[in-house]
Formats: sequence, structure tokens, C-alpha cells
Amino acid sequence: MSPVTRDQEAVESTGTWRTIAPGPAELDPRGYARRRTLMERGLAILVPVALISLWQLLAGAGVLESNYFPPPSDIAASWADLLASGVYQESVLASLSRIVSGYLLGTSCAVALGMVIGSVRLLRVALEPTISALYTVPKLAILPLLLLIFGLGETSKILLVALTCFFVVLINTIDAVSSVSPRYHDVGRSCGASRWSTLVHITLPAALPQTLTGMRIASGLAVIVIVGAEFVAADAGLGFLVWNSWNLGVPEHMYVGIVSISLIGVIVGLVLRGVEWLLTPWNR
Amino acid sequence: MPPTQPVKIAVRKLGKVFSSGAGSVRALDEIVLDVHDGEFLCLLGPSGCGKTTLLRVMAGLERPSSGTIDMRHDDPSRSLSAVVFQDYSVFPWKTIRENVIFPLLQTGVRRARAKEIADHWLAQLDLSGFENAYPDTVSGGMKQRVAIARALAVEPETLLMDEPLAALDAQLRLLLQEKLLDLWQANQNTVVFVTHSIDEALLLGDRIAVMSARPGRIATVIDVPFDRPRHPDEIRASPDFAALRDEIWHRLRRELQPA
Repeated sequence: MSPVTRDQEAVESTGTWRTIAPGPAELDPRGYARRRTLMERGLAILVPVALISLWQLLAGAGVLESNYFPPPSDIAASWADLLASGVYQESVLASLSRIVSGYLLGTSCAVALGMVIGSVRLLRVALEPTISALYTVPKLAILPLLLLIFGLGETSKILLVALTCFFVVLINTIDAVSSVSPRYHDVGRSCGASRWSTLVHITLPAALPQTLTGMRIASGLAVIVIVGAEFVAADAGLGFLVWNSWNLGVPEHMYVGIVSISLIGVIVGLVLRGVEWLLTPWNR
Repeated sequence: MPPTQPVKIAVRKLGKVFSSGAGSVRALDEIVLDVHDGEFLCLLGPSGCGKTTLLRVMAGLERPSSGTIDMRHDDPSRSLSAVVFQDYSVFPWKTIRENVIFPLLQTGVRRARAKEIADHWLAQLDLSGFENAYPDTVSGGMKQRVAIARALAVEPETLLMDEPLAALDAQLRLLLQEKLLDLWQANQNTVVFVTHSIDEALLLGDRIAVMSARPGRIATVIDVPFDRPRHPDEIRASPDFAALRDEIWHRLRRELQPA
């Protein structure tokens, strides 16, 4: 008997055929992938541009109250003014230096301590409850205490950022270190690896991805907390710029500050993504 | 291997009890076993019979609850033992070459020399060209070959293998069994090889220690009569192989079905 072909079958039965064949993505996979990336990148840019344009339109048409929502063109103009007067650079530099020094201080202490606490069971058991309790204290709440001890200078603000980053990174590092798979430690022990060697070759790299996640979260918190501190206890910085613009009734400057803060947050996040990419080549 | 060879590993009345909140489990009970120089000994048994625990005690990763294991260390310049673990033991953060270099550095080998040794063993396991790849970018079979290369590179006096092929698919497993036979033929280490596959034990082992479960005991020790060097296809086709496999299977079956 000859095999039944589709045409014969179509004549003999009333059922329909469902054909499964290559689609556009399969026929031109490279072109399809290129078009899709292009569209996705385009959308990522297009959406904020559209939102800002809409804002501009509504503000220009008088729909939005310009005292609260000045048109983006006005904000851009005052941005240029602030740049020309040097106030902007001063503000960014002030905030950025507090964020960077506080972040580096808090994070490096936290990673070093976290590695030790995570690998020594007795220390972990002894300290974990205390660390969890301290972690939940909103760090902004201790700003007055820091101001009392260290005065209005840079130290109190840098320490605030450092403390904020410290606990987030510490908790993540301890968790990362203590959850390293025992299989890897078995390998180390069966090779007769020393404590130092185990730390460098096994614990540190195994815990690195989660530690870096903690560091990325901490960078965002550093930006948030420094703005809060600058509201009340600074005479320079982006937080001060926003707060002072409210006092002076210049909403345009307020927006310049707000947008700049969020830009710093985005850039710091990107930098840390880059650091992650460099430090964990096996996860690329 | 004739039993006239001197004893390399002497297991004496070894017991291991795991205690937890709910109670305790006797993983090993009064184990007595000799492993001889240059012998390939397979520990065969159903899962949960304690064969991995016995291997871990030999490797120094676990302390016995009672009894002792004595291992003769002939050459202090060589490692006494190296372990090939079941799976997921290759460091994902190190390249394949660095994985093999790691234990060498622990024994005091200089980096340049360690690199040469690593490349030699990677070539032996057909991994040349993948030295700089990260383990997660290669197949499971290749990862397990890295684990084997890592253990062989330190040229241990005894090689302890914990179901090194269990996670591989059947075809890959056959290929790696052949590879292990070749490597053993060339190096003649003392090997303790944990497996739950009767075929694998018969193909690789000089003797098979069949274990029973709960508590883990040595039920019987079987001599494998096949001549070396072995050819896997011939052995699998021989009537002796079928007969021995049946014998061991009936023995194991009784262990698995309590009357």
C-alpha cells in the first residue's frame, strides 16, 4: 500500500490540517534577532522621551500647575544656569564624595567581617541576632546621634552612609559565606587546603556573587540616605539643593536635584554591574 | 589482584552512627575490610547502605563513631589519597585548568610545574583545548572528567571515587568506564570505587564488596575473575559476566526485600 499523501487524505476525509512550519524568526534568525534588539532598545529610550514630551506639552498648554510642575524646558534652562554658576558641580561633588567614601568604608569593613563571621560558626551564632537587630534600625534615625557625637561636619554624613551600607553588605556576606555548598569544602579538605587557601580559593569566590548583590543594593541605599541627611544637616550637596529650592520657592532647581540624584543612582548601579562583570567572569 | 599483595587500607570494626534530633541512624556497622596494594576495589550496594559514608571516612572527611581505618602512607612526597566526588564538585569559578591546578598548589607544587601537570592530565582525559573554559560552559561528562583529572593529577597513592559516573547518561558512562580502565591500567593506583551499578563494578573491579543496608554491613566480597587489560565489550559478552551479575543481583535483591 502506498503511503497516504496529504492530497489524497484531503479528498477522503473532512478533517483539516494544521501545518507546523518555520516562521519569520526561523527563516531569518539573525535579522529577526537584530530587529528585536533594535526595537527593545528603541522602546527603552522612546518611553521616557514620550513621557517628558507629554509633560512639556501639558505644562505648555497650562494643564499642569507650573509652580509644581514646571515644563522640562524650564528645568533644562535652570540646569544650565546652575552649571554656569558652579553651584551644580559643587552639589554633585559634595554628595558624590560622601556617597563614595561612606560606601567604600562601610562595604570594605562589611565584606572583611562578613567573611570571618560567616566562616566561623561560633562567631556567627554569637553575633547574628545582634546584627539582625541592628540591621532593622532605620539608619536615618541615628543621624541626630551621629550629629551629636561628630558635629555637623563631613564625618557624621560619611558614617551614616557607611553604617547603612555596612549592615546590608554584612548580612548578605554572612549569608553567602555560610551557604557555600559543603561539597566545595569537602574538595578543599580532601586536598589538604589550608584555612587561608580555603578562604581565597573556595569561600571568597563562592560567596562573591551574593556579596556583590548586597553591594549593589547598598549603593542604592547610600544614595537614598545621603539625600535625607543633606536635607537637614548640610550646606552643600544635591539633597541640600532640593531642600533649599523648596525654601526659596524655585521648583525648577528642585527638579534638577531630583533628576540628578536618580541619575547618580543609575550610574552607580551600572558601575557596580561592571564590577560584577569583571569579578565574576564565570557568570558572564 | 592476588590477595598476596600487602594491605594498603585496613578497615577494622568500623561503625558510624548519625545522630539527629529525631534519633540516630546506624550508617555503618562492624565493617571489616582490607584493600590491597594496587587493587581496584568496588563498594557496591543499594542507596543508603553507607557506601559513600565508608568512602568519606577513608578520605578523612568523616570521623568514625567506633573502630578504625589504617591507611599505609608509603611515600610522604605523594598525597595519600585523592577523592573524585559524585557531582557538582568542580569549582565553577575556576577555569578547567585552574580546577586541576588547585590541589597541586596545596601540596606545594610550583605554579609553572602545576600548569604542566594539569595540562598533561587534561590531555589524558581528552580535555585539551578546554583548559581556559569555565566548567559551566561544558557538558556534564566533561565536568566529571575534570573532576577525575583533578584527582589523578596529584598522583595519589589511593584514589577514592564516589559514584563518579552516576550522574552521566548511559552512553557517556560506557565511554568513561573504558577511559577509567585505560587509566588504571597505565597507573595501577589503589582504587576504592563506590557504585550502585553491578555492571560497572564487574567491569572495573578486582574485587567487589557488596554492602547491605540499615545497618550498613559488608554482605559479601566477590572476586572478579576477568583478566587485565580488560576489554569492556568482550567482558560484557562473556557468560561469566552474566553469571556473576545474576549472582550479585540475587544477593542484592534479598537485601532490598526484607522477608
